[in-house]
Amino acid sequence: MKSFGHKGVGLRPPHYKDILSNPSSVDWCEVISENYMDTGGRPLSTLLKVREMLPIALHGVSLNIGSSDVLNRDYLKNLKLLVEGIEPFIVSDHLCWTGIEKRNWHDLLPLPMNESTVDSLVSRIDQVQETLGRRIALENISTYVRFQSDELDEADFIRLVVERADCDLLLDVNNVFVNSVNHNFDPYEYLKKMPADRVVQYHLAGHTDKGDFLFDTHDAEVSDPVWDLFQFTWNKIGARPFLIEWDDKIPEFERLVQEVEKANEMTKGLRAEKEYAI
Amino acid sequence: MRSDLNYFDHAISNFPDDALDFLRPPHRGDLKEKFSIYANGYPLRTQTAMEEVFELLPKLLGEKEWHHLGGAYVRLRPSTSYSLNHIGESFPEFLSQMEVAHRWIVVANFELKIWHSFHAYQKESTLRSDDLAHIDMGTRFLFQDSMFLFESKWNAAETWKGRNSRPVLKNRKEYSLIFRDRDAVIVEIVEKNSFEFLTLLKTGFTLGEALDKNVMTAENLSKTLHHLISKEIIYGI
Ligand SMILES: [Fe+2]
Repeated sequence: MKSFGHKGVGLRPPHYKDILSNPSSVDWCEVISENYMDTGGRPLSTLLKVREMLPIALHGVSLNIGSSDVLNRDYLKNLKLLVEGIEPFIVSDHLCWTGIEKRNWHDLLPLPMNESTVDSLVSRIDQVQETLGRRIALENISTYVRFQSDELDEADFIRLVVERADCDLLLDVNNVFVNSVNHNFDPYEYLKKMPADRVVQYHLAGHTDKGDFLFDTHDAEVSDPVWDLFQFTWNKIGARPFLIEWDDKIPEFERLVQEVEKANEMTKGLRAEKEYAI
Repeated sequence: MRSDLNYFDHAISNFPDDALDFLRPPHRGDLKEKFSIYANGYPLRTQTAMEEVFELLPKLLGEKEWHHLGGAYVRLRPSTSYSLNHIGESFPEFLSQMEVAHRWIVVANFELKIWHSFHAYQKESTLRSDDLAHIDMGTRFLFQDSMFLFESKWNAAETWKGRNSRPVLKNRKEYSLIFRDRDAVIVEIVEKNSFEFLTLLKTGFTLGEALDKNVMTAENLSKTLHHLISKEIIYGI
């Protein structure tokens, strides 16, 4: 694949027109996979037009990789069709579960962080990568509760999963910060434990302070402590494609691009010791 | 692991009644409040997704009744689809079970047709206006999956078209044609005669058979066929 810059946005319908009329404002886009599956309408036709101009990353929310249900074959079949049509440079989803017994809560739910979850994830990730015929990346999620049965801390859990499953990691820097506050750990120590050679992409987003905890709302600009963590991450792990996720109270496209440019400015002059080859 | 996920799943459905003792007490704040993020998230997200499918119905029902019915639907029929796109599929059928007034079921069905039209896969049309010359009485037509015909005792189509300016549903017999022009869904109110003619063609009758059952003037026939071809409502013969 041809190399391209790092600046990305999560493409949402209110910005379809903007990206089509000004594709050079970013280097690539990420889209929510499920919004483009089972549809032959405007979302897909827009995505195909954007794809002619920019590299695309597919980011899913319903793979349900951590569930105890069998993997949804229909889902994988349709995801594979989308992957073949779009030829994304990254296919990702979340290190979470979304439902059991066929129900889907349409939410990124936390997993018990222990050996038996790791075993189950490793075998399921293997099946997904086998079916899609390519590697996938999984993202660390924001969480608000922890299980009694947790045996591992989050950084060790993630590291174990991606190394044993031989998959990639989409590192959401905001989620690291949100969890560090919600579960009382040092986010810098967490980032030091991340397996740099597995990290293929960064997410940045805004959150809301609810007093006793942080809520990952994706409805505001990135907060100062997350910018600090982002710079630390860039130095420690390296340069990777990054994007701003903004899913609620979505601003004008120009405002979103400003936030992306701000992130880009912050990476200038940093060491980025391990450049990632796309 | 199975039991942890089962407890979690059950606690979402049953919130706030289940004990949350499978979770750790938080280092600060209240566990129930934190768990409510998961328990309350589902109705919020599904209701928002429902409002993308049903734009008109909430306006006709009023906010209170819409939240009552929509809320009951998402609670009693948890989503089993991997996509929120499919969230409204069984809402009309749910409304009939709830024994709501028939007109609301008509509107829900109409809006679901719009939604299906919006997401349908369009086939490339091979037809040009010149092809009108090749059409004879034995011709059968291939319709796009985005094309629907809707008949009702209520003016759902007319009301839907005016949905952004204080819509009022009236008890008025109405026939409509739904199709896609590129990415946009178009709704046209048509005459009973044209509606029945199109219904016959869509069901697979030849042009001759449709005209036998449904008399049309030469002018109206030519106008209708031209419309079907130019808007790519049919993609082949
Ligand atoms: Fe993220």
